[in-house]
This record gives sequence, C-alpha cells and structure tokens, in this order.
Amino acid sequence: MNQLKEKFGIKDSLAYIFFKNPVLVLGLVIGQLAAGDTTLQNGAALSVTYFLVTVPVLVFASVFGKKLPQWLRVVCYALVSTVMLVPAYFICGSFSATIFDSLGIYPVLLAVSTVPIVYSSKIAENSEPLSALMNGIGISLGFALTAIILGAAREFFGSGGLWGFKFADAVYPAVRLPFWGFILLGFMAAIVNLISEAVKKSEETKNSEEGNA
Amino acid sequence: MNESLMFQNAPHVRQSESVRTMMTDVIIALVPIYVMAFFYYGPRALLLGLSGILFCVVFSAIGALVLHEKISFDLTPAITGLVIPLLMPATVDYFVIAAACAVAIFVVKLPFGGTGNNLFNPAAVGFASAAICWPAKVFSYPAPLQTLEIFGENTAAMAQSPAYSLALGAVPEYEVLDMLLGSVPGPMGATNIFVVATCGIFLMVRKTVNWITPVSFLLPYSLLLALFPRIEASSFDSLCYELFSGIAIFGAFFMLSEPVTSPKRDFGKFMAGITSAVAAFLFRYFGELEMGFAYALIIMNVFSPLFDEICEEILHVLRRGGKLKKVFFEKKPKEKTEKEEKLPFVRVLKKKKAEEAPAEAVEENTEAEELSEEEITEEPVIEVSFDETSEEEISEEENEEQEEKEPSEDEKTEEEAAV
Amino acid sequence: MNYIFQFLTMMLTAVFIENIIFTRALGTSWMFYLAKRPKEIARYTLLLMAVITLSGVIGYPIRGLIYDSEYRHIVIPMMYIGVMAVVYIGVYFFIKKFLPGEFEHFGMNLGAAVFNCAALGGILIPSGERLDLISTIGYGIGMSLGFGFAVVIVGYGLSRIEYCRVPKPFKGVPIALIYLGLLSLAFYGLVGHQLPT
Repeated sequence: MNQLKEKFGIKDSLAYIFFKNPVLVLGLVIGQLAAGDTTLQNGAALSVTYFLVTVPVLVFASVFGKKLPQWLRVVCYALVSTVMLVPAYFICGSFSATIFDSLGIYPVLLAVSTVPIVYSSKIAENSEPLSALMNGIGISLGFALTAIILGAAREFFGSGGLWGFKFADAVYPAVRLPFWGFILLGFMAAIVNLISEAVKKSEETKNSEEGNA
Repeated sequence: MNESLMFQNAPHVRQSESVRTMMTDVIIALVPIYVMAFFYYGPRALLLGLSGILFCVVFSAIGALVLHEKISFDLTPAITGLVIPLLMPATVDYFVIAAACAVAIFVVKLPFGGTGNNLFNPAAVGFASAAICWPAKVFSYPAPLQTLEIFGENTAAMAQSPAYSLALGAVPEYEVLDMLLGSVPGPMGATNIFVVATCGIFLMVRKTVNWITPVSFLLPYSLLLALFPRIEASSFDSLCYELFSGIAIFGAFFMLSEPVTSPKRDFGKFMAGITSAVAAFLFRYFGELEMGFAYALIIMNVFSPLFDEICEEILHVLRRGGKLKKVFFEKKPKEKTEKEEKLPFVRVLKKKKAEEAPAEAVEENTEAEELSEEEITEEPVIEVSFDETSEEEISEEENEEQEEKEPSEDEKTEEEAAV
Repeated sequence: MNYIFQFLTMMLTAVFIENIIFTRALGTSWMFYLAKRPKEIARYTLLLMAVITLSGVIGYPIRGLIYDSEYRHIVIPMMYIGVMAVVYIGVYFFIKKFLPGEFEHFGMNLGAAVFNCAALGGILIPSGERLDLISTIGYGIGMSLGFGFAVVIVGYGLSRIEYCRVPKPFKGVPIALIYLGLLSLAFYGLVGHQLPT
C-alpha cells in the first residue's frame, strides 16, 4: 500500500510539470516571468531561486505549520523563503556579473509569490512532509520548464543570442518587453491546453475501447 | 435553419447591403489614398499595400488551418492589411509590415474568435506593436515627391515630420496648405488631409461609417488642441499644425469607426468619440511616442462595450423610468439561473462552489482552474420533474449529485479530503 | 506647496505611467483573484495601500544605512521583508481588535494579502530609484491605486471576453493573459520606447 501511495504522490507531483503547470495552467507567478525572464540566463536564475525558495518552505510548512499560532505562520513562511534567497543569490551571481542588473527586483519577489505564501499555508500544512517535498519539486520543475523555454525564446528573438553569446542580429527587439511576455505566455498556455486536450481525448478513446472489450 | 432568426456577429446590416459591400466600400475609399501615396513616393507605396494584404490574408488562412476552422473569405483581413502600411512611412521595411500584420491577425483577431469578435482594433494594435519595437524605422519619414527604391537599402532623403517638431515645441517649417495637400513628411496615408477627408465623407454618405463617430471625435479633439497650444503661435495656427500632423483624421474615419470594436448605439458612439478625443489628446501631449492616437484607440476599445451598456441603461430609464442598474461586472449566466429557479417545475441543482466548500484552502490554488474550466464545471444541472417533492428530497438529491461529481475533479477532492 | 506637487506627480506617475500591473507586471495572481470578486477590490486595495505606506515609512531610515553595501541586491529586500513581517503582525492585531468584521471577512487571506509581489514591489521600486520620503509615500499610494484601477479594467475585460467566440484552446488562462498583454501594450504608448537593456 505504501508503495502505491508513494507512486501516486509522485504521479501527482509530476502532473505539476506539464498538465498542472503552475504558470501556464494555474496562472501563478506570471508577473516575474513576463517582466524578468528576458534571457536564458535570467530564466535559469529565476528557476534556481524558485526551487530554493519553494521546496524548503513547503517542507517547513508541513513539518512545523500546525504547531505555530495562526498569526505567526505566514510570517515564518516569508522569513524562511527570505533566508533561502541567500544561497540563491550566490548561485545566480555565478552565472554572470550583470545578472542582478538585468533581473532587477524580480527574483526577490519570488520569495513572497503565491506558492510559498498561500499554497504552504493552505495546503502544505495538511500534507505529509514527503508529499510536500514532491509537490514542491514538481511545481518548481514546471516553473523551470516554462521559464527556460520562455527565456530562451525571448533572448533568441529579442537580442539574437543564447546564454549571453550573440550570434545574430535581433529579429524582434520588443519581445523583451513585459507585454510580449504576457502574450507569449498566453500562447504557451494555449499550446498546453491543446496538448492536454488531445491527451485526454486519446485516453478517453482508450478507456472506451477497453470498456467495449 | 430558420431564416427569420439568425445569429450574426457585430457588423449588423439590414437592407440590401451586406458585410461584404461595406468592406468593399472601405477598400474603395482606401484606393485614392494609395494613389496619392504612389504620387508622392513611387511604386514602393503600392507594393507595401499589396504586401500588407498578402500577409494578412495568408496569416488568417494559416490561423484557420491551425484551429481546424473553415477558411472564410471575408475582406476584413485585407482592410487591416491595407490600413497598416498607410500609418507608416513609405521607407519602412517589408518585414515591419509583416510583423505588424502578424500581430494584428495572430494576437488580436484569432484568439478572440476572428472577425466580429475582436475586442481591439487589429490595425491599431499591429501598428502600435511595430512602433514600440522599431521606433527608429516607423517614425523616420522620407521627404515627399521622390521615387523610393522598391527593394534594398533606403537611400532617400529623410526629414522631420511636423508632429515631431511640435512635440519638441518648435513651429513646423511647412505651410498649412502643404499639410492639407500632404506634401510634408509623415505617414504615407495620413498626410493628405484633403483626400482622406474626401474618402471619409464618401464613407459617411454611403453610411458605411456612421457620421457620429468621426464628428464626436474630431470636434472635441480640435477644441482641446486649440485650447492648449504647445507652440508659440496663435491658437488657430497651432490647431491646424496639430490636427493635420499625425494620424488622427485618418484614424477617425478608418479605425475609430470600425463597426466591430466601436459601440453599437448612437449615444454610445458619441460617448466613445469624446472619450477617445480626450485620451488621444493626453497621449499626444504626455506620451513618449509620436502617434499616440493608436494607443488611445486601444484604451477606448476596452471601454466601448461599457459605453453601450451605460447608454442602454440611460435609454431604459428615459423610456420606462426606474432605477439605474449596476452596469459593471454584470454577468448574464447568473441572471439566467435565477430566472430558472423561479420556475415551478424546473429544479436547478447548483454545484457547490469552491468558495462555499469547507476547504477555504482550495480557493487560491484552483482560482486559475476555475478560470479555465468555468464553462464546464459551473454549468447548472437542470432537472425537470412534474411531481412535487419535498425540500428534503431535493437536498438529498443535491448531496447525491455532489458525491457523484466529486470524483471527476481529482484535485479539489484531494485537497478537501486533506483539510 | 512644492511637496504637494511632488507628491501628486509621483502618485500620477505610479498610477498611469509605471502602473504596477501593466508596466511592472507585479501581483498578477492577486489581480486574477480579485477580478472575479469586484466587491473585494476596494478592501484589498486599501490594505495594500496601508502595507506599502507603513513599510515604506518604517524602512526608509534603515534603507539609508545599508544602501551602499556590497550585497545591496539581497540585503535591502531582506530588510524590507522583515519590516513587512512587523507591519503584518501590527495590521493583524489591529484588524482583529478594532475591525472584527473585516477580520472574519479576510479570514486566511490576510497573510497572503500582505505578503505578495504587489506589496513588496511597491516598496522595492521607490527604494531602488532612491526616492525621498515624500515621493516614496506618493509612489506607494499611487501604486496601490493603480493596482485597483488595473483590476477593475481587467475584470471588466474578462467579463466581456465571455461573450466572444474564443477558440477552445484559448479559453481560460491564455485569453486572459493575451488580453492583459494587449492592455499593457497600450500603456507602453505612455512609457515610450525604453527597451530593457
């Protein structure tokens, strides 16, 4: 039974990578991606920060959440995520020297985004540490996938390079602006919808065939 | 299908005219402007227009193919493709036109459901996005009366447009008559005020464009420009310079009065005209980009359904009396269910909403899912019964209904159970 | 008089030119949450305004001390989150004691209504631009008003989109994001062509 449970937990948290993608399907953390995720480096930095911020907070919430008084919980979650910004700061700083100038305030804002603050106090508190850990990993992987694809696309079309190396002229410089971030995320979300609908349909037909058999 | 009851999208036309004739009228009205552009800048102007049509038509066909819809042969993409180059200088590259057309079709039209459903004017958004992306290309104008090279590097002599010198606070060096005839540097379609105005009047006479929109836009706009001159000149001179430079007059006839995105009622059109005049004035004076009209138009498009609703309410009060209803955020589906609840034999079994559920927790997380699945999940389940049952039975049925439904939504139940 | 003028300029800049949603893209998840609950907008906007102003004022003297630190990219935000935590505890007990009805209304959302990207962004942006105290307060108030304004516009637009014949894959989140992007584009006409470097 335990093995089965674990399997299901993994399956659920894997769903966060694509079918329940935190950005494209649930509509969270859109702002930071739209405004800050303009290059591949920025995408990677945001993903690392998000991973380091989300997972510890969710685990912390599931272990200590119920033992704290109501008014202190959110404060604690915010402080834990803020402390986790420190390692994220040094890891991102190793990517490139100018990364904080190009990212601005956006990686810091991940510490108070919806998942560390709201999801932890509403859902992770009531789940077991292991499943909270798995959920956290799934959510941050889903975020990382979106951030890296979006960042690479915007760097390629917006400044004609990847990871800081320029090899062509910019095709469409405006793609680095926040409003193009919103629009591109919208189109990515539409593609995810299209694929998940197709998968659902194929599963349904499979099920009905099995039922008929 | 019954001919007497037909569902049709926005350009509502009765009489012998159809959407197609309306659109043909607009195209006919655009032709003289292209002829003038040909006169001033040579064949490149015509080629820009043709490429605009080609890009828009091809893009909308691609979009229809991707979405597995029928390829429709309406003329609206062609008009979008004709309007976009007219807002730009004749030296602009072909790929700028292509990018603007792509934005107009793929971002503005397609996701909202194609012709008749777009909330924003496609040509305005296409031009606005191109202007933000390549301001140097879109806002540097060639001097008129020279034949431009059709392909390749641009070698034409460039000149400052009157709009630019006005923004700097300097008096333009051009005669007002030149500005009326269009022999000043500027967007290739919007400078020939005489021709544009004639074509606009043709459209108004043909009733393709309702006269209220351009008039209610241009009068307050010129009043504002005359009241607040930016240059040291008499207010009439300043008004002439300000009004005849820029795309406001062209836009008033060909973009503002587009039937889909403008309000449907006359009074609504009037309100939209005044509002966009104020917005265009503010964008012109305080915006960083030269052609603020396009941005003002996008902002006005957001509110144009609201003008219709307000106008509807006011007319309702004037005709029948009564109180003003709340216009904002009114949703039709809710009203429907309330009405159905009042019927004696139709029982509406509402699904428990996430808000009422014991797990308040679910709210934030499922918020976005609610957004996406609203149409599917929040539809009331209607059951018709002809025998009178007591309320207890109804509530039992409701419970059963919920229990049956819950397994279908894996996440909600999982989280509820967790709480 | 000068101060009032400065205050108003900062406020209008924050509402229209540097709108928190359309230009800065902060607090979008709260915006989608509130866009469907029009009655809540005023309540949350006021709370946001209180949090931004209070934290900005409390953090202002501390900010001066650490501004030139080598690690300012990380130290200043951490300091402000600490200040926000203090403000949150204050607001929590204030509302619980003096406005019990509001306290019940907010429920578990109170924490999230204080700790969100919109609030932290509204504090960090003026600090990053080294504005003085009056401008900081004006900017904070303008930011929260701009947030309310943006939520009203987007909420109205989303209620209009229900009447459009949106293709199936675009329904829900995608069309909302595209709509938001187009609105944001219109506001860029005010900002002009400042491409991020």
